[in-house]
Amino acid sequence: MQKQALLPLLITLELIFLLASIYILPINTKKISSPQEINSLEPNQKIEFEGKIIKETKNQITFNNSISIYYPHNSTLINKTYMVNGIINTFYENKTLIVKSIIPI
Amino acid sequence: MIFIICFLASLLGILAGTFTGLAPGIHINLVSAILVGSLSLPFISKIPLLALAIFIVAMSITHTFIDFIPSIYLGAPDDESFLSILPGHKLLLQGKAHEAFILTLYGSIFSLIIILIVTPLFILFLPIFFSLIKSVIPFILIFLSLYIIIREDRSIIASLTFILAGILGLLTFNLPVKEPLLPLLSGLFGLSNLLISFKSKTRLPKQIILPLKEITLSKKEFFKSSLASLIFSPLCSFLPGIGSGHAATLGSEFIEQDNRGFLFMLGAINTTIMALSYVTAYSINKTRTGTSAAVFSLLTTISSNQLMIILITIFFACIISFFLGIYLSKFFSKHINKISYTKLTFVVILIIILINLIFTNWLGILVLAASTSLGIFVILSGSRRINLMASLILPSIIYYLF
Repeated sequence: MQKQALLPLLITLELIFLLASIYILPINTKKISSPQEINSLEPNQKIEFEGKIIKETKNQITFNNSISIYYPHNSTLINKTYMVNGIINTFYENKTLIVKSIIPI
Repeated sequence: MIFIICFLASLLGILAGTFTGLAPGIHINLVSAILVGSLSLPFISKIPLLALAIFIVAMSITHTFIDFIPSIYLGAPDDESFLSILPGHKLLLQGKAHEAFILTLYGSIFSLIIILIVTPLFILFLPIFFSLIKSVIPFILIFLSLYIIIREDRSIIASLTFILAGILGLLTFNLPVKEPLLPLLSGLFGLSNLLISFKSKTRLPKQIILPLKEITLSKKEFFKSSLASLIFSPLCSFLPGIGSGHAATLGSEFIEQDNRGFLFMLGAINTTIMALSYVTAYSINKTRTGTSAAVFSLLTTISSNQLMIILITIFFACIISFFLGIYLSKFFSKHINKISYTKLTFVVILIIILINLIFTNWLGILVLAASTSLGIFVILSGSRRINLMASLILPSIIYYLF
């Protein structure tokens, strides 16, 4: 291998490390406040939001910011405030939200 | 009346495909999305949906013929023709860019035979074999990956390149990168190559315009390239996450070809995959290209009559695009020498960076930087650039296995 190939190799390693850090670490997370914002984001975008639960069914909860998520639960969660972390996904060209964690605050 | 409208739509589609093919960065998916999004406009809403679908089909087929021109003459990649940069650039520096392009045209026109053979098979058997082939494909790709690395003399550098390209591909497709293929492929195969050319102050020789009858493949090479196209392009036309890049890698690794045969095969693969994506949409109701998704959303379902019209449009567009391609290639060959190659390279580098700045986001620019430096590393280390295909192969393996 030529010595001059080492510099681009080093730059590649550094940039891949940087991209991997963005992927692994909780950075580049966007705070959202409405369901419309989900459609404007790119797939794989990490998001977070907090809100009070105003409506629930057995498998779904709706927050006061109108964002609904799939979340099977047994006891009632109405009027409780939660912090939700998730990731934007595409399903047949529609943007959906995959919930990664839901923490009471 | 409807016949005249459809005929005009196909002519306009050919014109649009010529434009998207020549302009790096303007993709047919973008034009199709704009068209589908403009359906509510008064002028567009009066046009029959079938005519709009024909426009998209003609545009997409013409695009697969013409998009080799910027790849071969300028080194500006497209997400279907990017592999042609490697042999195309070599032939350009030998004054044989016209010959290189004509070989891709031969391949594209040869795809008509593949389409004729495969279409009835797809209609009859694809619904039955779809899931079976889907389960086999990751193992074919794993075997291909190992084969690519083992084949190389310097297997440590090949493995390093393969792993780095694979990781870069995985990160690109798992981060919120806008238009992820654009920065990934333009860095790996376009910008890296152009920066090396720019630094080495390459001088472009006078381009030779050979008559068509003198641009031929040997019988053996023609057989190998046709066989590779016939086997791998249908296989890669209906599976999600598998495209012309995978088909070309499979074809060139399992059936060895020289540069000229490879260009022929690339032309055949690109046009076949595009044409068969419409047959796939009809056969299993699944869309595998942006344009077939647009056609499917316009027509809701594709009937057998509509498929027949689409196939006629494909044949018509192929024949017109073939002659259009010859004319454009002659034009480029005659005029490319009038510009200093270093200046031209510099302008193309700027255009690629500008396109990335417009169409992708800051993460995409990071990917562009990483893919460009990886591409430069591969060129300087003397490793085969086919190893960079790991950026598409590894994410596909992960997608199919998990």
